[in-house]
Amino acid sequence: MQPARITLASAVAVTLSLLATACGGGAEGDQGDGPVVIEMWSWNEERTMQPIVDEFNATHDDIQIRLVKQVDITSAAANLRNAVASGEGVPCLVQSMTGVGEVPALTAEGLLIDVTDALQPYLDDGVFNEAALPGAQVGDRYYGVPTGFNPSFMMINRAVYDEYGIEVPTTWDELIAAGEELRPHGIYVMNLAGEDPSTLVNLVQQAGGSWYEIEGDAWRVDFLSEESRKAADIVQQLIDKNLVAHQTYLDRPALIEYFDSGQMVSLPTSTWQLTKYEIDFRNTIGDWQPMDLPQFSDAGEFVTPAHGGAEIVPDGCEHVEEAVEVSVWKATNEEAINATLDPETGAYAWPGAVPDPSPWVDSAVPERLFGERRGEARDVILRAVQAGRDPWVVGPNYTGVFAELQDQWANAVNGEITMVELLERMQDFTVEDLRSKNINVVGS
Amino acid sequence: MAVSVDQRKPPASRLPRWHRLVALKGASFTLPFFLGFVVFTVVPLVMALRESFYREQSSGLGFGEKTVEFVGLDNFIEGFGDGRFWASMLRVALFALVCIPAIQILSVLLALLLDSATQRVANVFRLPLLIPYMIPGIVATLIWVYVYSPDVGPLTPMFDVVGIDANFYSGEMIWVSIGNLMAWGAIGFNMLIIYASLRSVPREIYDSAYVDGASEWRVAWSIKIPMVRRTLVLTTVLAIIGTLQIFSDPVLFRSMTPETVTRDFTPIMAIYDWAFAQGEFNYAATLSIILALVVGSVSALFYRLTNKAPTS
Repeated sequence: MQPARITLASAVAVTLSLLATACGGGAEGDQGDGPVVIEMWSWNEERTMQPIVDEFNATHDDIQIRLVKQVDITSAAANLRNAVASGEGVPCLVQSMTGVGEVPALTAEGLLIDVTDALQPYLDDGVFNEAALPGAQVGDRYYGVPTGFNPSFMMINRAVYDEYGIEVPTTWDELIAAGEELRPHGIYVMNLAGEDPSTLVNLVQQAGGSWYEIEGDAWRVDFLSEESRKAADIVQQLIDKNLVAHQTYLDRPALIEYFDSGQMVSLPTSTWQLTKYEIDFRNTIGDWQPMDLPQFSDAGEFVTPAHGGAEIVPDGCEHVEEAVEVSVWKATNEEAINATLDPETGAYAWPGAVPDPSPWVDSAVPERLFGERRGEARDVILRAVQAGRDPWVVGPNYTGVFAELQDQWANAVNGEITMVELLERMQDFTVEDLRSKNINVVGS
Repeated sequence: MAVSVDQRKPPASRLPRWHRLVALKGASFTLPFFLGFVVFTVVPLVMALRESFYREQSSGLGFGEKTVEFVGLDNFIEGFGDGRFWASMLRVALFALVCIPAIQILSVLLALLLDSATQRVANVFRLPLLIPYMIPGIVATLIWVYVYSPDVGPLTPMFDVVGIDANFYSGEMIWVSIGNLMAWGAIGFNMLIIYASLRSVPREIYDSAYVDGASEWRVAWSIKIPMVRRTLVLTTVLAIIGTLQIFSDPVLFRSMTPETVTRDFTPIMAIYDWAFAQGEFNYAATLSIILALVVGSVSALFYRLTNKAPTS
């Protein structure tokens, strides 16, 4: 009896102590006089991140980066929330989380720290592209280090356009007209994925609109502005006239096969996608032409949407200055950008934060995708960078608002509601949501 | 009997203690389970219940320090009035109303067929019917997601040949697609449980029925099914609990057809979205408690209504 009782008691003790250890976590203390270690979270592939880290660590003695790979953006967000809430194991840098939360929304959650003071010297030096700055701001303070934007332009399957004698569109209205001519031939002019309202968001930004605005100590929410209606009208026409395909971005093999089929002929795109298309396209390689993003017919100047992201410094980081130094180096230093070269594609990660990305443009343009028109790509991309504007202000509840927008967008793309109804619903949802959180809202 | 009480009674000091010891030893085998149950079920449940009485409140522009306020039943009032959450509940309830009986009927039919076949034939079919259940749920869903895909799957072209325009991802078909997947996985398991229960019924009862001139169908309907009633109740309750909490299947379908399967398509998806996409843990905890209440009530109600003793 006795030994059995002891065994059982030991088993219970071991189990309980294991549980206690598991709950305790493992924060690491400072390492005395050695270099400051900045823990950085990223979910990018290690092969693309490690060279940057190695380059930094090799050229800096006082600061070292420790890369911590996260599974994906969603789990990184959950881990970040847990780390900040517990105050233990908080990283000092996290890759831009625009996909799940913009800087103001993450700030409102209490996850981020004000880095304005640490960032100011670099802002004074003018190391950033002006259009890259708003994406890191909350009001006039910075809660992240700008990582910039990817230039927006379009690529069209020129072979199909030529086959049916259709002119290359320069405005959205012309694109709709081109779509009407292509439709009888069973061809869609563009693709609107059911899960991705970015087409609408980008159009609103291109029109110079924003859904949020700060007025004193309160938010003004305006989904029904002239700019939003203008953007909604373009999308509504594309849907009503049945000019667009609805391939999801999530099933990539099916998507690529479709894009490569010649049945869909215009793609708003950016630099990071080009090398992927080069690798994946089989039938239409060489048929595509890079061109300026279509404009609104009444546009006063050539504009591309350029809302940027920000690498974030979580609340609880003890080395804010060093974290900002690392992040600014990554975003703007020439050696850092050179270290982003992906040997597989031969392209650098797009240096979206720097005022002049021209030294890296050529690497972003693949050899065969544009065939004889490859030479046009450089100017198209640089024009898009110069024309980049960021009027976009994001409110503290944008994470939830964007999720709601995705659902309403799905309804609109399915034809269950109109785009104007979508805007009306979003207006109500956003105002109600802000009020439920006790946040000040003016107007309705 | 003339045996006196004193004679039957063992020496008072030894046997009860020995009994207690044996009982304790036996009970100690359940300790790992209860430890896990307390740590992973009771504690989270109590924590969730606590969270559901609080709410994070902002002020001004919403960027300042948040305060956590005790809001009493406010979250529950909001949860009970949350049209979209209840729409997801209704969606799944309607699905369960169709899907669970269909799966149960098919499982019973297969079990009856196996039971009436010879042992050798039954053995041949038993394993293949169980294979879908052996495949992990996520893997099964992935397989079917691609089988259904209108772009790369084989089904759409096959239906095309016979002139049917089948899109398994469309709003009208999505529940049929998910239901088929669930049936594929669940029928084998249910069938096996029911079959085992059928095998434990004394064969003499059937023999006497046959002697009385009962047909195979009559034996199945009047003897076999009533005899496995308790098993049917068990598999149905398990199915109700599982279906109301359906999550991984629609989540994977969402990755292929997000315009049909929205983020709050099922109650658990809505809760997951509130907690992990939007960071509103208090409200997510409240909805979890509400869902647990609904699942518990429905299961208990079903159990109470159906779990009578077999009539024969």
